[in-house]
Amino acid sequence: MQNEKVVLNGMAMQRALNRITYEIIEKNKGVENLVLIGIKTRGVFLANRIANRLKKLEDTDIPVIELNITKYRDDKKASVNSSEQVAENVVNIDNKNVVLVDDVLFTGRTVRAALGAINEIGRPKRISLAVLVDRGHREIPIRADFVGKNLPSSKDEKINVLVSEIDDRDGVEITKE
Amino acid sequence: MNDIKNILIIGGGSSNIGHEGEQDAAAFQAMLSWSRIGIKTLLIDDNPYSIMFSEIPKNNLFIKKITLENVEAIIQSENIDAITPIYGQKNALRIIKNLNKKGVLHDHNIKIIGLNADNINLFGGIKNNTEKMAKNSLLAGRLLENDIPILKTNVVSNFDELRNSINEMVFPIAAKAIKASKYGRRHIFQNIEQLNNDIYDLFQQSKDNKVALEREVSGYKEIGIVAIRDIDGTKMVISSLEDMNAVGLNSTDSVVFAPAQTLNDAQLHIIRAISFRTMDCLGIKGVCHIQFALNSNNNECFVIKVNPFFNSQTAIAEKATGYPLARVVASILLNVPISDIKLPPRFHKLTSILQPISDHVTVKMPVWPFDYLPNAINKLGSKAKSTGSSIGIGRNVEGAFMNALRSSQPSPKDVLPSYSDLTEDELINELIHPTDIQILILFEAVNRGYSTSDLSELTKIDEFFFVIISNILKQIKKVKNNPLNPSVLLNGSKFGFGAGMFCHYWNATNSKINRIAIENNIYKTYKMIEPTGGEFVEKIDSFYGSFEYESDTSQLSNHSALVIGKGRNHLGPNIAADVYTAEMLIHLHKLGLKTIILNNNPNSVSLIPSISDKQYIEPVQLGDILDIVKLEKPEYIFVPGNRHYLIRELNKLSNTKIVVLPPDQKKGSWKSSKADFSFDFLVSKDSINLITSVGFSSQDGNSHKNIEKQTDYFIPYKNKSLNFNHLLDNAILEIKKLELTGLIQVVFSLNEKGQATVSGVSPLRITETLFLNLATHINWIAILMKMYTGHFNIGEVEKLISNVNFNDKIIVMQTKFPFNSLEISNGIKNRSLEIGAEILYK
Amino acid sequence: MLGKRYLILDDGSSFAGEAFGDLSNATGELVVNTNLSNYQEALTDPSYHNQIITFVQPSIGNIGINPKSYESIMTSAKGIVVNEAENISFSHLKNMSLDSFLKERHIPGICNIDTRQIQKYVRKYQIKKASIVNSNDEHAFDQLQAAVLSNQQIRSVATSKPYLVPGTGITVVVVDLGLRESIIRQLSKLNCNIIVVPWNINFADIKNLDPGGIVISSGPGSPDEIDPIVIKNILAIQKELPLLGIGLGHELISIANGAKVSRMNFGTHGSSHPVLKIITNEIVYPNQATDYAVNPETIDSSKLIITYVDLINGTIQGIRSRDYPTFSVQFFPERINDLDDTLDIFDEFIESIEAHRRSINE
Repeated sequence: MQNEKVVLNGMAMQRALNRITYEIIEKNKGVENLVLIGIKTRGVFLANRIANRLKKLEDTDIPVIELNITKYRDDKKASVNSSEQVAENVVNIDNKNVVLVDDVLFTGRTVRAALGAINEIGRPKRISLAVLVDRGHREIPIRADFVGKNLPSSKDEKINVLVSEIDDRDGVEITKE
Repeated sequence: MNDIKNILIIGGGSSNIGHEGEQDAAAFQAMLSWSRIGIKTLLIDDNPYSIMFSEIPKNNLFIKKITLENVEAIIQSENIDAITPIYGQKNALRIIKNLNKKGVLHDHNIKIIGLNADNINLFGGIKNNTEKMAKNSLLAGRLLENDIPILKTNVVSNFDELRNSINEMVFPIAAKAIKASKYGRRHIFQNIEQLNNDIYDLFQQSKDNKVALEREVSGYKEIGIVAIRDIDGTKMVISSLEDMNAVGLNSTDSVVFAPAQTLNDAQLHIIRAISFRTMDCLGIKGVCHIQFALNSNNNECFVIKVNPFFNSQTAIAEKATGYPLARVVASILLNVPISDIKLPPRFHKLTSILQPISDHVTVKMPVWPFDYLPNAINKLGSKAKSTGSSIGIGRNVEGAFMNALRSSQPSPKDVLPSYSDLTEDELINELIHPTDIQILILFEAVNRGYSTSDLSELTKIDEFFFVIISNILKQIKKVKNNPLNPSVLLNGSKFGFGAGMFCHYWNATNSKINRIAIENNIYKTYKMIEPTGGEFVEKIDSFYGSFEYESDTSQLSNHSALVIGKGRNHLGPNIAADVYTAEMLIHLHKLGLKTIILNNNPNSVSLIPSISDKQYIEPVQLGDILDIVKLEKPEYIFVPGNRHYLIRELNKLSNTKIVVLPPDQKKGSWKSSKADFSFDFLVSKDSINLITSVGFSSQDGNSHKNIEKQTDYFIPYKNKSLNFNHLLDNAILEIKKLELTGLIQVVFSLNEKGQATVSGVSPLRITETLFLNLATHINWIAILMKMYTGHFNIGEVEKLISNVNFNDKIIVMQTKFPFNSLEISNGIKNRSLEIGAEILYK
Repeated sequence: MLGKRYLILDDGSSFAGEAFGDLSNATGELVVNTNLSNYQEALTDPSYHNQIITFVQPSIGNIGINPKSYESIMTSAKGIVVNEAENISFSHLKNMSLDSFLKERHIPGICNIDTRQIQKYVRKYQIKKASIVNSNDEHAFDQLQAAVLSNQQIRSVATSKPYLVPGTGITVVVVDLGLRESIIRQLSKLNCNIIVVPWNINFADIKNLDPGGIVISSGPGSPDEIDPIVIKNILAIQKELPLLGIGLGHELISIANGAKVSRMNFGTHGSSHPVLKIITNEIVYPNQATDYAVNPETIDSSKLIITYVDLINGTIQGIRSRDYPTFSVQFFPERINDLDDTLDIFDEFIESIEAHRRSINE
């Protein structure tokens, strides 16, 4: 039987997203020129939530690009259909401040793949990274600019981010395999 | 939810113990606000005493037994968009749960409103109103998952399991043998030693060798929260409700205070926060009543009941605060956020979103049926036994308490019965094992000098309430010792003492008391029952009396009718009388009169704010009525026929027409108590018109055909061997002998040869009047209102009667009795013991 | 027998009632508290310094005074006005009656006043000052008119010496402008190592304590009367450390960032107003006790973001800096209990401190 442990409940997750939103405003000196890119699947939901919050605070619509990184992953070989869409809801990102959003930052390989995919869309002025959970064990020199929660974890643990849009509730859980 | 064009309400069925008119009142208001935005309300119900029946278009009304099959049939034949259980209690929840399970709702694309489809199955396991949260049910599981404290039951089948679970147990513990060979009693263990000594016996008693263990919380405070939640998750507490009695005595049978009086800020907010979390995790969009057990010494609390629908507690919260709960919930059901709800102009525009606060206190006093049922066990416990209640509202706790208490007493004279003849042992026994006279016993005990802390320990009632009783008794003593003293009159009045009490102790007439009051500038003022505590200017039409300087109201109109309500519900035709009163208000208003209702039953439909122009929540006692009359100077006063003392006194008023309605059932002339059938007539000063024949029958072989036991009614009555024309002539002759007007019934009985003779003539009973409305599709109360206010037109009535057509159907009204609820095994089914009724077609 | 007393108002009106509590005369700002359960908390809340509190709750004193409901061990209110005063104490709970408590603390009360009438009157005529007196003669009104209420309120209610409330977690410095103990209670629950410092401390001394973040507490009176050192400190703190302001603290942070604060026609003292949390669209019902509000027109939107708004009177209830991890709320997010809609502001604060630490370590 799997042993589930809630490390972030729904309220704490909301709070983390609130704080990341404010920090994005803080670091970017506002929301002009801002584009959010969510990494599928849960990164997109999180990016949309941040965009909703920015809309409420600043009354500005921030575009959210949905990024599909399968093509760029280094752990999945050959099987990828190269005609697959890299991104949906694409807007021009040249010279924009892009915030890449994902649920969990682990080895860093997903982010590297995402950076490759972004290259296909355009050439931003700057890319920063927002993640809900940073669980350590980096294998590539990548670090997040906005972190919801730093969560030291062992490699045999699994970290699940739940979003109410598809998971019936919000939260972050650790399960031991 | 623009796609909702109609909503099916599952009704509450026949009234019963713990179920009066409160859901009907809420449903009525929802229907009104939905119809304003073009949404059609459909209703399935078989309760003839429903205000909905006369106001809902015939095509939208399904008078059928409330069963899964019948609801499904409606769904098959009508194009239903949404369905809601919140006006029909647990039966409605269960039906919708099963419809959902069967996939019927999904197939017909019907939305459940009030709580969402995923959560409705959590509630199906609960069988009746009085049962605590079903142990280890789906609901309990969901609450535990969300860290909501509930009482868990631990079932252990051997000492190993017992030892394993003993560490997490908190004493005292209630233990019960499962499937006990003899009657399984709950054992309370105060500590581990007691448990060790006796638990072996419990294992022995159980056929399965299993014992259920549970935290024992009787003696904790019982606190209710009535709250709402909308589509955005905005939540608001409408009112806290504090039971005077501790956990262990059903809330329906306890005196209840709104808002809670003995909780500190921290306790209230813990309970509030847990209520909100509960509503969140159950996905409630609408109203919710949550009941808590609270240990006030350490702030530990448990959720013991969750009711996601309108009930008698939500009714108290609404009446106590003046917050337009039913209206707001009707909008929440349509996914309108609370902040966007538009209220009628009499409310400040921000009222819906402002968390209600009251600058007054409301007390609910229960009323029991034991005077009518000498064989019933009058001991109070976890099962509800009260048939009704009255509320008192006051600017202080004592005033609210006394107003409620006076309203709950049978005497019209405002003097409390004394129990000074009880022995010490009897008194203490009553204190420890409360019965229907509990409140008066508490008065007696305080009066005898028991200390408030001792009484609190004996009764588990918070000491605060004994201080209140003691304050009241001191004031009564002052009244006794200071006859005709104006400052005592003022202070006593502030404590809610009725004029009758001063008359009694001072041996003075009402007019004498009145003179002292006028000479000393003592007069009743009326405060608005509004939810902002004076922060905003509201124009709400509900008021209660106070003796403070400032009044929030003045005379409504010089062309008004004051309708005296029924007050609390007993057994007998009470709920019917309340609907009758509501109909009177609706039709008097239509006739151009400004209508004023005086009533104090929190579950009453006649107090629905939109059906009268002004509402007074005050005791229905002579002094209180005269105070209102002094201010309002009504053109008419409508007073129920059974209030003989009131009628006599009110008839002394000049310049006011007194109309006795609903009529006195006892008026009339009887030759025999035998009854088989009757003719119902409308009688005016110069006309007599037959409406229909009515047949009687009995539910338990009534070979003597005694009219009191003829508790089933059917229209029309047919008997080919009788010459109806001849009998009609007889009937009219009998009517002419009496000076009765209105709806008149001539009762016949059949002899052994099958010949009919007149047994008696009397005003048509209240219950039968509503039955007649249903059977004929004519609103006879509307016609009576016209008759007594000079708008009567016989031609119009004759035309209506000529159109009556029963289409070969027989409509039946079956009376319901509370014997099961009260655990009476062989109750006699007598008209005066009815608690409700059901309608069916044959 | 209770003695006769009067509540007289600065517009010349007078209301007769009866004495309870201390028998002295008192003059103060008249405010109306609409909470239905917090008379002890209000009486001991330094935010009510100089004020005469009228309670909307019809019966006051029902549960006496208990050792767990203090917001400070001192009392600050000038007097109380109630409809019905219950003189109740329960010895088994070791509590004392409201009446004896008021006597002990030399706070006069007046009861048997139609407080509903007062509430309506105060809102209609915008009454500011009132006195509780033995006689309502001309002399009493003259004195009321002439009375000048102290503007050095913080000096009377806030600590003059720093003290430590030890904890195992993050060190938080609380600048005391008239602290409600619930702020300490909530920070303690989050294991903070709390150092409460006087309002006039230097920023250098704060830094020497090496805190993770700073709280500027609530307190009484007008923010414009506060010594400029507090503003100076705020400007220095926000550049370097996460900063949370509550009540008066919020008003001062707003002023430090260019906004102006003005006195409201009638203050808000209660928990009935819906407050919108803008970022998530949630509506909460926090405890409010304020007579001042940040003027929305004076907010420099290049510096501050509005985070909370009162939906009833439109007042700003929270702001956040665009440039620094600095945020503040006008209402009181803290209560004595540990479950409430607004308590997560303290979690938010601690999480900001953690995030800030991470960012400076990188």
